Amino acid sequence: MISEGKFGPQEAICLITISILSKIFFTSPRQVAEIVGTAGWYMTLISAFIAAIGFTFVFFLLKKYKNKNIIEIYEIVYGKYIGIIISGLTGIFFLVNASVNVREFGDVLKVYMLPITPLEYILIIFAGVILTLCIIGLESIARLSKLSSYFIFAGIIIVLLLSVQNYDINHLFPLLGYGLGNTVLHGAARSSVYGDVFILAVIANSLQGINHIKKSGYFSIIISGILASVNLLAFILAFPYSTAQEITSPMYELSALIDYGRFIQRIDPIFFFVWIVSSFILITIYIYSFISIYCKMFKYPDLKPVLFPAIIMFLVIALIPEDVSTVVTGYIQSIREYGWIIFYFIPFITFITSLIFKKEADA
Amino acid sequence: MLKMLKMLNLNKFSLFKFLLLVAACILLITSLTSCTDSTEVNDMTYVIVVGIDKGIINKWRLTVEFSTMKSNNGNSGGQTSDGKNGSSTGNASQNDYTTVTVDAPSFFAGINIINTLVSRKLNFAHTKMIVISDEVAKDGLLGQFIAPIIRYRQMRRTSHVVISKGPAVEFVKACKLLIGKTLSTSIETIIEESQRSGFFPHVTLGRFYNNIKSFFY
Repeated sequence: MISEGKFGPQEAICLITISILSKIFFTSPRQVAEIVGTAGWYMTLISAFIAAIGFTFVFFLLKKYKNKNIIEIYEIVYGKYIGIIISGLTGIFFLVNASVNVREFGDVLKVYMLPITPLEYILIIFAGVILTLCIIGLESIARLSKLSSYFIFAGIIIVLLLSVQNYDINHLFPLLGYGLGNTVLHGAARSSVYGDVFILAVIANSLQGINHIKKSGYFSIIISGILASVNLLAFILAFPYSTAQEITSPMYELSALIDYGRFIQRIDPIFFFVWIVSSFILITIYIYSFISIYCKMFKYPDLKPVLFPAIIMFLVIALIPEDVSTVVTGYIQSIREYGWIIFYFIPFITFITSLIFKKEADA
Repeated sequence: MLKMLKMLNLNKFSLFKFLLLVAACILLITSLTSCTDSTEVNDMTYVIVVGIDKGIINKWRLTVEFSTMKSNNGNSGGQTSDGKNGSSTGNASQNDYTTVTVDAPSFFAGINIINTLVSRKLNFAHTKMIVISDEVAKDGLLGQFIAPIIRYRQMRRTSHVVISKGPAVEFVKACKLLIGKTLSTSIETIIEESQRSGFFPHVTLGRFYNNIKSFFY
């Protein structure tokens, strides 16, 4: 069994909330505006609600099999081989998610800040930091998340408050976007945005008991749901949905719009600080989850030997997509729309299976 | 290898740490130089005002006004090259700014043409004002020109948009300093007057584009 350290619910909440929230800084709000028009700000609340329901089944599983993580639970319920296949799929999903997110990060960075820097260069530097963070371990990553959360949340609030000058209430209308049915449907499908809460099941042994997992999971979803909704609301208030659909990184554009005369303007570096730190945490926790799942699947005692190969795989996958539009409209869209299968549906089926076949922890 | 380890007085574990340190140093040394994508301030010239007219030999007539980065000693002498009828005007401070006008099929083609004429690359990160002639504004073709500009990374949505009565090129050429030393500050101060006097509307590029595209207005 690998030793991952221990941390409390505050660190876990910060870790999960930051990783959920950092998706707002990428191209997701643009996609949301394209899919549901002006209704994005409450569509994300629907997603959070569905995610909370999905997490309930993960929680039931963890409650039923006390002191076990989700990888061990899959093995208990489905047996060794099917358990490994399901865990492997989950791990690969995390790896692909990390690669796609880092590619999206690199592409957006190229679009706005570093147009002539080779993409590989950005990705390799990013991978170097992730490797270092993974070496120092999960406990340190969690504590780093808590430490950086103060700056990240302060940065977000500063940008949102200073953007007040650009808000126009008329941009909220039509309130129902492209139709309520469409909003609910896509809200449910995009619940995978909050799927990072599943990571708690992977690292369950690092949290101190089932109550901490429950608290961390639900609080993360509630906090990130509220903040994501406020961010999307600010975005749609600042840009009419017809324009919002064209913007690569809406939150960056929102911060670039802030202009209070000659002395307060061009404060987008605040946004960049928030964006880059939160992206590091998001991608590191995805890579760590992949490595953790891999080691738990094959019962490796140490995850350090797996780190370097995992980072190489991560980089190789990140370089597969042709361009930024393939990443955004293909990979990201698919992950958002079908991620719920890995995050909620499989745990739900596992829970039902464990009830039907009465699989116990000592089986 | 073993001999080397003994010479360095390292065991296998500390050798790994040593190699890691060397790798980290190499990575930092190569990455922190920023040579690959470096752009020196001396390589660029910052456009303050952009003017848009209908072109004669091409679709659009693009005029840019930028600082010549010369000292204000009065002897430097600003050189204006507007393609057809260049002129050099004004006192020492005004000579620090010059205009270039070209006819081009698009904004970016115009930038490329101007970049071949001037010794530095145009940079629009500090563009304060976009002047559009009333002829272009009335024509309804402005969306075609504005859409690429708004997506251009250097252009900020906070730039001010002005519709000029008559050719924009004349308006841009008339944008000269009366007081002070920097044109960008003067433009900001003049635009702020809109809020006090209300003699002219204040519109930013972002709001201008939103209003072109939006169904609300």
